Amino acid sequence: MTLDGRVNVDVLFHDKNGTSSIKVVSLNNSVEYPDGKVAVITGTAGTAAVNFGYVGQTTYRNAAGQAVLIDSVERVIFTWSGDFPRALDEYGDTQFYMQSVSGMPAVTYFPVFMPELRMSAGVGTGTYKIILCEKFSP
Amino acid sequence: MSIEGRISIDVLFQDRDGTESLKTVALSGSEEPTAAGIYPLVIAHFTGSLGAGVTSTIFDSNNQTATYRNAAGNLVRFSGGYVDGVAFSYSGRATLVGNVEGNDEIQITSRGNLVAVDQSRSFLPVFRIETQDAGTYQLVVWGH
Repeated sequence: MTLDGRVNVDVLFHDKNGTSSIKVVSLNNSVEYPDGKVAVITGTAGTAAVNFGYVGQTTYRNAAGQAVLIDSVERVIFTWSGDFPRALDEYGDTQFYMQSVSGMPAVTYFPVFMPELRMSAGVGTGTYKIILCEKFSP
Repeated sequence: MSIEGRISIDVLFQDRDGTESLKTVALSGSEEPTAAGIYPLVIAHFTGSLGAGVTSTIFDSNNQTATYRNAAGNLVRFSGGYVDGVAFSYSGRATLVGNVEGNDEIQITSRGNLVAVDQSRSFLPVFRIETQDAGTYQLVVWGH
């Protein structure tokens, strides 16, 4: 069994004058992952902070039913459904701190061994989804 | 003159067994930012080169004026003071840090032009880039 996937990020803005696009600002990239491992952490949270601990100890299982063990994460994607931003950070070495709101994902490159993740306390309730990618290096 | 645009992120992974996709992990989001009340949507775009091991302030929204100009040649102002999100890429390896009132509230990293995105809705942030390698950067900031 193998794993493949992709991460696409596409940001585009343009000034408009009537129907004419005058100045275009674009930042995008698309990365294909021909191998590696991913783990997914999902759940519902209230106003309190959520500590996930070492991500290598997630309960996520692959299609064969085997627990996915992750040692070194290289990319993190985080989304929070609530109307007020919520932050995900790495509290071991404070390697990243990023926020999501209204289901819009935040993305960072993040090479670290056995990170400790935490989602901040905040306003309102919502659902979260964290995708952790290991290895690859395109 | 107005601005329109989109931020679209699409993540998909699947365990495969031969030609069969057994388990799919997907996450996606797409947004078309709009004006916020009396404050129009504005963006600023910064590009440049940096050396290795340097820290450089790229955008200080406290000054309310970026060096970026819109298509009419006017300086872009974040009149409401809010940055709703940033997208950042760097050809080497570098971290974008957003500081709000003395606290680093955004910290995302790019390497090899992989685009990092934050959606923090920060008030008057100051953005700096901390590099590990020499390279070129692109920073897109949107807000009001």
